[in-house]
Amino acid sequence: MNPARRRRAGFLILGSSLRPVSPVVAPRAALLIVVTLPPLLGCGGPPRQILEGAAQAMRHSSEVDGVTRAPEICSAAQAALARAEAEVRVQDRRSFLSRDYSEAEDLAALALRSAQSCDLHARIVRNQARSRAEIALTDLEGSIGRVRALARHIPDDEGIRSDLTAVEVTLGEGRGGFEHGQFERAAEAAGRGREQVAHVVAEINRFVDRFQASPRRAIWRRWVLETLRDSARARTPVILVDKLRRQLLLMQGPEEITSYMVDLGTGGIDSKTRAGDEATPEGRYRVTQVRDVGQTRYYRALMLDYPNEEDRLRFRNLRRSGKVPRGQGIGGDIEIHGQGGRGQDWTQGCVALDNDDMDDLVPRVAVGTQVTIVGTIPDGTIP
Amino acid sequence: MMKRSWIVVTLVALVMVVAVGCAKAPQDDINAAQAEMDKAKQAQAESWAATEFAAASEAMNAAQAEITAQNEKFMKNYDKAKELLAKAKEDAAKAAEAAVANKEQTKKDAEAAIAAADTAVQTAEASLKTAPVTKDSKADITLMKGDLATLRGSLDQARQSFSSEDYKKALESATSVKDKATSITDQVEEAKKKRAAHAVPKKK
Repeated sequence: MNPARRRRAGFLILGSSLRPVSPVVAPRAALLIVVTLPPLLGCGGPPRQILEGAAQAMRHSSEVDGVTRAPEICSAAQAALARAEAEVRVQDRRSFLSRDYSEAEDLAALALRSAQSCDLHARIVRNQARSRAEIALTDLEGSIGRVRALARHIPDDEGIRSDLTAVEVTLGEGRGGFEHGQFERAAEAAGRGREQVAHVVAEINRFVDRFQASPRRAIWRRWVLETLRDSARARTPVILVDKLRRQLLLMQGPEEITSYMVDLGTGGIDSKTRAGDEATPEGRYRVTQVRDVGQTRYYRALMLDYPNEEDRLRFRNLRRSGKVPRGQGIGGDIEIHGQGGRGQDWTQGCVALDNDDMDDLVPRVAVGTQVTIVGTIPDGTIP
Repeated sequence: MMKRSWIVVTLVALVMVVAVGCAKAPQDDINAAQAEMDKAKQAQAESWAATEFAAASEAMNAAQAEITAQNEKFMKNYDKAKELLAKAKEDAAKAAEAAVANKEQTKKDAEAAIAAADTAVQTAEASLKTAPVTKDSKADITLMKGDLATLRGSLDQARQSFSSEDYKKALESATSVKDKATSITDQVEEAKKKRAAHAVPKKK
């Protein structure tokens, strides 16, 4: 067989050599070529599993809002995934012999790593946001409680309570966001709430400053000093009520025996001037009667001698000047009684204590015990 | 015969080089993908379907980067860019659709929450009206009335948020108002029950 015929018969297909090949070897060589050529041409399968892994990681990351919580990493992961998928599709369309998934494999591996990183970072950021929101909301809740306790020293007409209710609505918004996994929104709501609380605290401080600078401050100071002096001289306990602090102090001379929190009249922090104003009077009084359980609707009670001479004089002056309408009485039945401890002012002018506190107080006092009620005890009055 | 074959081969090679080398950027595909992106933006997909929109946006960015890379080559091939543009177009359409659906759902939820809050406030107001006024309860009732007035104000703010399409805020505010109003009703009803159970003689 001449070389040309051999070539036409397919005996020689590799290289430029024209060495003769035996007819038995030829089919084996062809088989070898069929088996080894595709891998040499880079014809491995498409990296679908890796791509599916990357897509799954991206889906997981979307459950925790990856693109908003870790935007740079997640954007890079999405870009890598898109490029890998595009490359696979490009190669899928190529002919069997020219198909090459090696770049697709590299891109898919990158997409998988990026997607996993996106998911991980998004979860870390989500958890951090969750802790921050939780702390912020708990802080706000605590602040509301503390400020509410402070606000009870302020008359309701100052609008403080209304402001605090608005803060509670904001807190509710934050809690709602938190429950729906919107931790950043929850933290933002808590931030708004903090600002509202700061505004309320400033209002309270303004009120207290105004109150502390009251022209009645000198009178309150004198009453307290006289009461303590009488107590020291007679060696008997006396009661001081600080309306601003909502506090009842049992004193023996300058020594404080004990103190209790009290609720006052709904009429605000102003002194009582007439019946129906529901304010707690300010003045120097005495216990006129001790009522035990069953003798009063309010557990136990210390009846006071309101109105005293000073109250009557002030009332007459107010009526003369037209500040008290005609037909309006001066009021009465002012007492220190139980069923208090509500954390808000609810009486019609009385001073209310928790029942346990009344049990503690009543045995320590008697008919005739001095009770001095002041707007506030000026700082430094009690040594 | 041999010479003619070579000429044919050379011509075919030249045509292929010209065809591949002078391939143009897939402007129609770019325009189509961009149009879908614009639709997604119009549907506020950035905020209402953030994940889907980011996927579309990144595919578009990758396509543009691929086109830029191919533009600088002598042998240009825009196959991959076309694939990326197709993905960007598809994802943008999905983002637009998801945005419309998510926004609509949140709008409905906010609308329902506002209605529920309004009902809760009305219920609390009605409950307060029939609450027995005593020395004990008078202060509470006054304070609760104040609270309900504040809640009405907060509900108005929720309505304003709704009008300005801030449905998430409207939903959260209205839900909070409803919870607070419901707690007031519960307190009043509890007090009524207590009073009914422990009727005490009036103080002289």
